[in-house]
Formats: sequence, C-alpha cells, structure tokens
Amino acid sequence: MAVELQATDSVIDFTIKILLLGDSGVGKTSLLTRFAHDSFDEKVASTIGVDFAVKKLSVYDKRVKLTVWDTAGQEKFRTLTSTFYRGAKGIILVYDVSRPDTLRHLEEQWMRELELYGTEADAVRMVVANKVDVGDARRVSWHEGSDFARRHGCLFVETSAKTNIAVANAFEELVLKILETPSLLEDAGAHSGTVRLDSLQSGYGVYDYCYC
Amino acid sequence: MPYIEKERLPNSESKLKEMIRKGVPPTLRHWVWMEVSGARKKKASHAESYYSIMVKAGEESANKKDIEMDSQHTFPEHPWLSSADGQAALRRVLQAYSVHNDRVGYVRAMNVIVGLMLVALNRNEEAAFWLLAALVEDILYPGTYSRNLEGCQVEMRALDELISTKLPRLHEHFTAIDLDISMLATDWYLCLYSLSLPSETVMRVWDALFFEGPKILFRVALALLKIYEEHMLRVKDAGELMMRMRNAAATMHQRDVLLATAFDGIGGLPMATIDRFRELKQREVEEMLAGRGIKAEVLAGAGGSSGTSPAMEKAAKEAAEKMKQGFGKFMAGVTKLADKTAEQLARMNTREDQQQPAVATGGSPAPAPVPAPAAPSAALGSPGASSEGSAVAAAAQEGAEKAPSGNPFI
Repeated sequence: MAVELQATDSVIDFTIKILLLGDSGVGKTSLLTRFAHDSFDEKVASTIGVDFAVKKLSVYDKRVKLTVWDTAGQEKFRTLTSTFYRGAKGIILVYDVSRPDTLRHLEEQWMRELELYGTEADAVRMVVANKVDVGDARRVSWHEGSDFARRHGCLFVETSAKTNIAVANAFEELVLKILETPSLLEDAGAHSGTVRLDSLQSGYGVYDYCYC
Repeated sequence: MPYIEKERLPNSESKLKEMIRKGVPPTLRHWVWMEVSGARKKKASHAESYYSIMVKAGEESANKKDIEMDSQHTFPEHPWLSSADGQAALRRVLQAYSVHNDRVGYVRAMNVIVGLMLVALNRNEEAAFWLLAALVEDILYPGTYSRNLEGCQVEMRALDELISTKLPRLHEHFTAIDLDISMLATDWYLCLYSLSLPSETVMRVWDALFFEGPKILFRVALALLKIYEEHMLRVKDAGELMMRMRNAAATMHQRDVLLATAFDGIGGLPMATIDRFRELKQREVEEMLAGRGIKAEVLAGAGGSSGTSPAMEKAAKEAAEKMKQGFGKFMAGVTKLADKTAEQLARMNTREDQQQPAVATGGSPAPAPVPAPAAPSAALGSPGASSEGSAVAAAAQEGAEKAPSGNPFI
C-alpha cells in the first residue's frame, strides 16, 4: 500500500508533519528509528529537547514526505515544546503495554497538551501500544488499549519497535487517514509542491545526528 | 596554560580569564574548576561528611525512578558510563544532588553533565556533586532546571533577541521557516553542550563557563550560528535545519575556531544586555505559563460552564496591561516586544473563545514561503558530514572505541 521512496526523490506532493507523544521510556525514539531507519538499539540515549526524522513514501500515487518529530517525555520538558505542535497533521500517542500508568497518562496529560497546543482541529490521532514483545510482562491488554482509542476517536495499533512488529503499518495507516482528510491537505502541498533537496546531503536519517 | 601551577592562580582576573580561555590542561581541570566555579568554597562551607550523608539520603530520593531510568541511557556508547559501575556512580551523584537540592530535584540533562564530569574528573563523584551544585545554584540563570524549566525558556528568548541583533539575516530566516530557536538551543543550555559538541570542545567551553558564567553559553551559541550561518540560510525546512545544525555542532572538532569566534568573532556581549533581555523575558515566560495554567483550567472545565471565558479574557487583559506597565522603564525598542506579547495573549484569548470544548482550531498561520537565500555557501565543509566522534568522544580520553559510524548515542 505504501512504497518507500528514495531519499533523493525530489518531487513531493505533500509534506506531512507527525508528532510522537507519550511518557518517558515508552519507546518514542525507538519507533522513530525503526520507522525511519529500520533498526533498533537497546542503547538509546534519553531524548532532551526534540528529535526529528524524515521519510518519503509513495501512497495512493501521492509522493509524501513525512517529517516525524519526537519529544522528551519527561514532565518538566512539556512547556518547552509547545512550538513543536504547530501544524501537526498526525499525532501518535504512545504507551508501553508493560506500564499501565503510561496509558493512563495519555488521557490525563498528553491529550491535554494536545488540546492546549495543537493547531489542526482535524489532525488524525493514533494510539500506539508499544513493546508488545514483552510477553508475560504485559499489563495492558489489546482490549483495554483499543477501547481507550475508540473512546477518544483515535486509530489503534499494537507495535514492537524492538522486534519490528507493525511499526511501518502504524505510520502508513496514519498517513492514509490523513490523505483521506481534505482539510489537512490544504496547506500540506501549497508550499512544498516541489521540494528541491540540498545537494550537500540527502540520505540522512536519524542515525546521522546526535540524539539530544 | 603554562603559568597556572597547582595551588596558585594568578591574582589578576584578566590574566586568569585570558589563560582559562586558552584552555585548562586536563590534569589541572579538577583543581581549576573547583577553584574558579566556587565549588571548593561551597564544599568547604559544609561538613566534611556532607556528601556521603547526601549519598545515603539519596537512596530514598523522590526522583529515584527517573534517575534510574536516565542513568541507563547516559552516553550509552561510553564503556565505563554504560557499565554497572559507571551507572552506579552516576546514580549516586544524581540522587545525592536531588536530596541536597530537593526544590530542583533531578532534571534530565543533569545526567549527561554529571556523566561527562565524572569522565573528565577521573570519576571523582564528590567533585562532580559540588560542581553541579555550583552550576545549578550559583552560575546558571536561576530556574534553569526548575519546574517547567522557566529559566531555560527565559534564556532561549534572550538568545533569540541576541540573534536578532547580532545575526539579523539568520533571525529573519528562522522566522520565515517557523523555526523556534528553542528547537536548536534547548539542549545546548540544559546540557551545557555536553551532548552537542565533541567532548574535547565541551571541555574548553566548560573551562570558560566555570569562570565566566552563562555568558559563555550565549557566546558559544552565537559562534556556532555565525560559523554556519551561510549554510543555514540555504535550508528551508525547520526540521532539516535542526538536524544539519546538530551534525555541524557534533563535528566541531576545530575548537580553536569555535572559541576564537565565541570570544572575539561576535563582538561585545555585556552581561548588562543579557540581563536586560532576561528581565523582560522572565516576565514574558511567567505570563505565558500563567496563561497556560488558565487555559488548561478552561479546557478541563470545558463543556459545562460559560463563565470561564470572561475570566480568561480578563486575566489575559490584565496580564497584557501589567506587562506594558512594567516595560515602561526599559528602552524604547522594548515596547515593541510588549505589544507583541500582548497581541499573543489576545490571540490566545480569541482562540480560547472559538474553541471551547475540543481540540484547538487551526489558528496558527502556515509557514510563509521562504525567500531565496542571498548568499552562496561558505567554505566550511558540509555540516551533514559524519558525526563520528561527537560529544561522547570523552570516550577517547579513556582510550575507548568510537561508535563505528553515525550516531554514537544509539
């Protein structure tokens, strides 16, 4: 359904901004690296400030450039990142299936932040249950997660960044839904009809810069 | 610094400053840092056993969980810091500090500062503890690590003002591509560059920071931006610019170039100017946070009462009025800022009215089309080049291996 484009592909129909939200340690950065670079490392540094990655996909005959933003989950960092919500068309709310409090915080904290700072009324929201590879350590069932997502009008996907379960699917499903929402595409193409990539370097991913 | 001998610093402040700016020899760092930062005095004003008592008390730290989690993810490629011993040492210092200063507790970023200190100071935990105390309590802008990191937000806004004075073209470009300076510089200020620059470069920055204070953070930020200005002017996407700048900083091995630019290449930077901006921005940040609180309350109580909206309106108006009054005593150009802030508050207020219950409406304008950059690239080498041996190259000091390629932190 979605095909990855070469990083050097310079003709883009839409640029779509996606945010990753959720508590510290639920695996936002790992989801980002899995998606953007198809790899996983146990030794990931804690995020300070924001991180960012780009990936280009071809979906429905449309060439889409995704800019995915990842932020520090620690509470003190929340008011720092308000600017980072601006213009986000897709929101991925991540929890860890082995830590029920991380699901609870999606409702109590992260959805509030979104209401405070989100700028797109129709932004597509998705709840991602990460770390389904944990086996017996799982504390939140599929039903609890999907009920929660349905209650809040969000898409729902269970993933494992570690064992590469459904990570690409999650992003693709989100993108499909965004492409089906005309109000979200109004300005997504306007200022990015043709993106000319800098000739210096085009194939960078999250691995080429420091995680801080 | 051939003239600094152990136990004897030059009497002349300017001579000392000059020597420190040239770099403290690694073997003298422990002693010089403790002296010039005030950490030694701080330590001396407490009982001999103070640190060990704090370590003990730290075992019950309220921040234990966060510290535990972050200490496992601090310079994960560094052989010692990723070992059980290194992580335990880091945990001890951070827990001890979190009880010593329980108003601040622990904030992520302290882990990388202390991690790098331990490596630089031969794993001396007590020295790292007192240096952290000197930084947080005396050297850095108050509130840098407070709840909501207000102090850091103030510094970001002050930096933004300095950029508009010192590098106006770049400032204009940032505005055009909707890049908030906090995206680039938050970790510079919170982690004191320990995650952003190669560690040998960080050491030089810290030498000056301990002696001259947070002005150095501004000088280095402006120097980095100045050195890569032409590159950044050509990047038209905020995220890509952020990544390129990070790459550039991570490969800033020519520390003499960076520091020469920081000390001599960006012109005068009187502390009075920084303080004036800080005072303004402090108020702005406080109002912003107050507005956020009110807004959060409105959202929490949404759906029911209609009485919340006028309250919000009133609060915003009052805030704007108060700010304008306060600004009277500052320079003329500053009034513009007050208006801007008042306008922001008003806009926030309007938005509030429009969107009582649910998600915010599309209030913010799409980023304006970017004007073509005027200047060609400077011959500085691609900032996108490999980040080999970046910040944690402190490892190098220990003869450790570098990450095979790409990001050393993964």
